[in-house]
Amino acid sequence: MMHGAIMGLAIHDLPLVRRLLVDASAPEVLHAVRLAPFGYMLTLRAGEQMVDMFAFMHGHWRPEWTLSATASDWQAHAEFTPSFVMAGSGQASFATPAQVISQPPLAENGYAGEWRAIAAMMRGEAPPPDLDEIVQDFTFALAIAEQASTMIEEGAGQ
Amino acid sequence: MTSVKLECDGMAGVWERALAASLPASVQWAERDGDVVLIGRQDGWAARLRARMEAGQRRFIVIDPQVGAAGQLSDTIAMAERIGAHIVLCETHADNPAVAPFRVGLNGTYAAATITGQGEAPMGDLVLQQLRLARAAGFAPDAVLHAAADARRALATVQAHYGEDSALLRLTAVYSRAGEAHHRLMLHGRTESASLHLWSDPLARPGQAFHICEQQTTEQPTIYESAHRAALRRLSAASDPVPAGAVLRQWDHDACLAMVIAGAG
Repeated sequence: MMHGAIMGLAIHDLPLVRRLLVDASAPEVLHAVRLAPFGYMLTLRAGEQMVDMFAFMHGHWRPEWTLSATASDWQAHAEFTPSFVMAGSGQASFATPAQVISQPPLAENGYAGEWRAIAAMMRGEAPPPDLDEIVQDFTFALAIAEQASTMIEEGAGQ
Repeated sequence: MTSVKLECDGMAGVWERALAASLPASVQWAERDGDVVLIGRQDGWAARLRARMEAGQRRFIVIDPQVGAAGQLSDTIAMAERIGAHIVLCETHADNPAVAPFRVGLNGTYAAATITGQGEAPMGDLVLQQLRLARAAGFAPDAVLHAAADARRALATVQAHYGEDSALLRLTAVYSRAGEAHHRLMLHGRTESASLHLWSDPLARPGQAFHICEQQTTEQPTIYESAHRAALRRLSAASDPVPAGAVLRQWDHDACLAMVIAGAG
């Protein structure tokens, strides 16, 4: 379950997480907990940085999907719309000790953006994505999924 | 209207102003012989509390007791029990007036609670704020299952109980000067969620709380009142106060957990 949860659910965030890391070459899962009916708590370390990942699938109407990156003197925060409706983009903010800059929602969500990127590629108006980046995204996610599922199988964190 | 003489020991002006605003009792600030002694938040709060008890005072509010006293309260507890002191701990997050009605509004089985927060306090105090908020919301922390921390961040999974049920607490605390210092508690159940967002300054800013179930979302009304003013009201109104020893032992338990997390490496 843990492997599937990461490669099926967390995978939506992990490429973004990887881009926020200084050294994403060897992510280390320090702790993993499986939540019933479906969810996880993960503590990761990547170089000098730490990552907290939490997911919980519930049965009510209001999903909440967020990403925050925090340092001593700045914080970036994004709130995403559900992926299963055309509800426009998420919204984001960037805070420093002096100010907060916000990006309000845009009309299109990421899926529309992906299709436009594919269309531009097919028309030869944009280059294809860097294959090395895609491979690194995949191996980053796979390393986390394999470590976390092994940790769960061995009974840690339960 | 009842008149109360407040005596301050180690408090900065901002705390006094936040406390005094629109108090339900007439307040006089006293240099000595106050009806209630307010003990400030510095690390030496336990020693100052003992000194004031030895000097004959019996009623105290300790403002945001710092985690540094963890594991060192046995003498303070013994003295408080011996003289029958009445001690109220006043914690900016746990005692925010939004917390008690938030807890009353909970109506579900929650498998996990997450608390994310940030601020400029030392890591042990940030974690303690989270543990105390969880307890005030009904999640009593029992033991640390895993923690990873340094001076700038702490991630921890804590075994807790919520009523008769066991539950997991997930704590994420980050040192940051960006944005506003805050903590957000979220409770996660199969068909219910609940969220409580509290700011970390001592002002009378209302928290933001809502409960979600399959049928509805309920936004919880709250009031413009600081945790400190609420604590003074509690002290003034209590006809059957919680014994000081029990108050301090419970705080010490949570503070020791916070120190374990903050020192986890």
